Amino acid sequence: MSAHETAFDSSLGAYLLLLPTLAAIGAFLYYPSLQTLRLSLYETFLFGQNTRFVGLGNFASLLTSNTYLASVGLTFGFAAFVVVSTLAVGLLVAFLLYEVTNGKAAYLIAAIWPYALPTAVAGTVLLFLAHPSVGIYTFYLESWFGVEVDWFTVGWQAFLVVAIAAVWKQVGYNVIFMLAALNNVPESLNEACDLDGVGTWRRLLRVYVPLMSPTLVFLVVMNTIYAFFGSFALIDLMTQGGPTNATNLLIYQLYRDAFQFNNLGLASAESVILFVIVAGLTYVQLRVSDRYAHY
Amino acid sequence: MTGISLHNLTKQFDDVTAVDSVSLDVTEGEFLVLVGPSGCGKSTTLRLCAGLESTTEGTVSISDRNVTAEPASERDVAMVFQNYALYPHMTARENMTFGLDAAAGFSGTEATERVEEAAAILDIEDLLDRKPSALSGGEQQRVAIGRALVRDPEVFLMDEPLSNLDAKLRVQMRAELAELHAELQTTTVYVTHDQVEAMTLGDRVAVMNDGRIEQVAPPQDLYDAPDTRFVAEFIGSPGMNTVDATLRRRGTVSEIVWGDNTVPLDASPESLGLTSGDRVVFGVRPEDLSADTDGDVRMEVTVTEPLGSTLLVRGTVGGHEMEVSIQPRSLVEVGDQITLGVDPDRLHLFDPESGAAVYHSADSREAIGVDGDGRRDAAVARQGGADD
Amino acid sequence: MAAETRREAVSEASSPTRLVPGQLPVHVGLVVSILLMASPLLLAIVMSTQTVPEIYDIGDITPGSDGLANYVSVLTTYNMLTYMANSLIMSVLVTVGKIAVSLLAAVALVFYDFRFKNGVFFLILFTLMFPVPVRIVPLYELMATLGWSNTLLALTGPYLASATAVFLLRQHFMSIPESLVEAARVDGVGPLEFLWRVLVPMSRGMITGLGVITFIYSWNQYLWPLIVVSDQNKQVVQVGMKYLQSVGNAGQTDWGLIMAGAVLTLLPPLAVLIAFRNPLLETFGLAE
Repeated sequence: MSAHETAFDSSLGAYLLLLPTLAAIGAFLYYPSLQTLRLSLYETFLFGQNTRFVGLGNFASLLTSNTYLASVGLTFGFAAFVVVSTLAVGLLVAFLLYEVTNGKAAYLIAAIWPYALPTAVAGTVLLFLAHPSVGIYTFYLESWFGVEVDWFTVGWQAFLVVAIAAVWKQVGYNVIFMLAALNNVPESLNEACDLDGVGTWRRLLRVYVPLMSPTLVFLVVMNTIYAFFGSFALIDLMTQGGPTNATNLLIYQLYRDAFQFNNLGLASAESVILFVIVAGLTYVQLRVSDRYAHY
Repeated sequence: MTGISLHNLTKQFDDVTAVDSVSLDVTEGEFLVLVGPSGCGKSTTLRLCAGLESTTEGTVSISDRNVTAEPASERDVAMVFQNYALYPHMTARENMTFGLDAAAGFSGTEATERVEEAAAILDIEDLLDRKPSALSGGEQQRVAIGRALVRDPEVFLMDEPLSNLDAKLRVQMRAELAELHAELQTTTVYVTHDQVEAMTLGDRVAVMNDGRIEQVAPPQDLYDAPDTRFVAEFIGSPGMNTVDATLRRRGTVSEIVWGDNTVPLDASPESLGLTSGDRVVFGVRPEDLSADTDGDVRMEVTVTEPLGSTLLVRGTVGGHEMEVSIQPRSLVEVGDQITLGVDPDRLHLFDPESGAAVYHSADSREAIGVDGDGRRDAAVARQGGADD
Repeated sequence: MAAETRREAVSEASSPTRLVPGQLPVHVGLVVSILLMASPLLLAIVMSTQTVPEIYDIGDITPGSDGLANYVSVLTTYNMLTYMANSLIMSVLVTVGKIAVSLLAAVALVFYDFRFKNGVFFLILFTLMFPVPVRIVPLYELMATLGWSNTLLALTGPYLASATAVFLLRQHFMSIPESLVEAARVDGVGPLEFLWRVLVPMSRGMITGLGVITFIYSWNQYLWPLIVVSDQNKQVVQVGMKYLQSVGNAGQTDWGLIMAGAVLTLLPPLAVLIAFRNPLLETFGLAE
């Protein structure tokens, strides 16, 4: 396509139209982000009243803190669990929706509604239903399977409960995108599979998944960002990082350092680290997808 | 007064010269067709006239007013697009008045009157309250033309307006466009890649190739006396046969030789500015060749295409591909050797390097007082009729 | 790669693990997974009708005797009505504001030619890398400096600019046939008139879908309101639910009341999702 000219050529007009967006991203996105970088080099004390330049001191103390490093490991584990489980569950549901012939529209809305589910509601509801003493899920798990459920004191159980809540909330979003990708699979491929007698699961894993790979990579990125940043409400409402830091994700640690301990410099350094981790992961995922995605 | 005048018009996209110093005068009321293969620059030329592209060099004048620097909306032109460009959310009527609303100074009643008038001309009165999705392709194109009509512009610019229609509808709309132009007499520049459209619609046709205009002439002149080898091969269906040949003296006249074949030519090499033994490109239309048992030209048949009214035979003549249009139902089969006769009044020579025409036998016959054939007169007559 | 996949698939075709193609297992699978996903919500609705003693009778999953009493008291006594109103105002303002601002930006990016166009687009897209937690401390301080703490401005301002909205609208505008734009140019239609009379009506589905996404997104915000709003009367419903947790009776948390609050909090975004599911799905590339 040759470079056809655009409809209106007035630089001034263009910038006037862009002004609200540019002003908003300048004031509320770029300025605070750069400030985060600056603040991360200062130590804050006296409840935020005073600051002192410490260079990379905040980073040094974070990276030598066992609590913080444990939180980093925990968050990676949490993200891995959430990403993998969400993709697996989402893929199963999306595939079933794709295969079903009758009642598709009704099933679809029944499967994707958690997209509208507020994280805080997911947390609150599961906090009650899986409550160690009054929760109905706990009640049946204990009476049917004889397991001891006490996630207010057992770390791995708390981790699992929070992770399940996160997956529950995120599945709907994944199903929407996966179904869109499945719908783009050419009908001729389905017909070829039918003629060759390719089994359902083979077809899903060997034909659809490779063809959906660009969407799956996108979802891996979005689910990772969600696991790192979006799970705050779950922790805040369900476990407050406990028991004994078993659910102390980076975002919660950051919140506490900033707004409970008023350690703004340290919290800013944590923001920078979060940014670097997520940017790095996004970059790696996109690179990997470049190499392995079957477009 | 000229309707639209292009002077040394040039358009460059990065490294590509899409339009290369084109000069063209379209007289007021004329229907001029720009025709050429895809990528020849015809659409870009039209868009430069419209003001949808900025010129790299040269000028565009409309009604003797230099509009090169003016935006599209100031040029008093209306454009009809290949895909109709109707707003899908507006009814036919709203589509037609939308541009009028934008141009200040139109009262509601005036706009309504104009729409009614255009709708009556185009026979779409019943469709005015429908949205484009409820209209057929032909009806959509009528609405698009209607939108151009209501603006009552100085110039109509049409960019392949019939290309998206099916074959039958295209022929019908072609006739209607011709009628419409005869009625309105609005200067029109019309772009198409279809040479039949070009020949049937144009008062004059400009053949473009590679960003340049090869020839501007009334349709029959393009067919009879193409200025260049490109025009010869482009106009006509199929186009003119052209073969690399040698011109040799034969007594006071000459002959054209390629392979074992010779065709006599009623002119001396000197009168053509050539000398015996010069390389030339010999051109002859498939219609001007005939199956003739006494002919000097031998063809080995490779393909036969019965077209109903004629039989198109393709084959090799002296190592060159040629096509000949002969009587239908002739008994010719693939692999046959046939001999061909050549109409001596319909021979063309082109320069092998530049491609420029060196000789048209019809011209020389006329020049020496021999009536070549009736076609030329018919062309003139038709031309006169269109100018009325 | 595709050919390879095919070949392997063919060789497995007759293996015994192959499932019988049929709709029954598909329906069973769907019903089971949908019930699993819906069960917490269904249980929450049931429990929201129970009194405290019924809640503490754990095996009891029959509708309680409280009826809608929990809903009434959570809305009136426990301020949920105020929280919901605050959330609604915030979400509507963010939705309308974000779409308006992004429409203007997308028009500039698609239909104008100007210096640094690609740079500006990149600058907007790159903000995807700065979610709230990355800039939370300075943003909080900025609100304090501006005197916006505890106001609607703090709840809406930071959400106005959106890389996603600009990106989606830009994609959509670019899919509009160029000749429509050119027809408008020949007609002398100005940019704002073109936006309002051509682009917006032609993008109704996309704008609605974007509106649904934005509404749900803003309604569900938790961390930012928690930080920037300390005045309970200005608080949004997500954080309001946290306040409910401290409500109790003689040391027993009133979970019925909390579940009523949770159900109420979910209702608006769920209603929007169901009502506008078609444009929403279309926006996500899932045309019905």
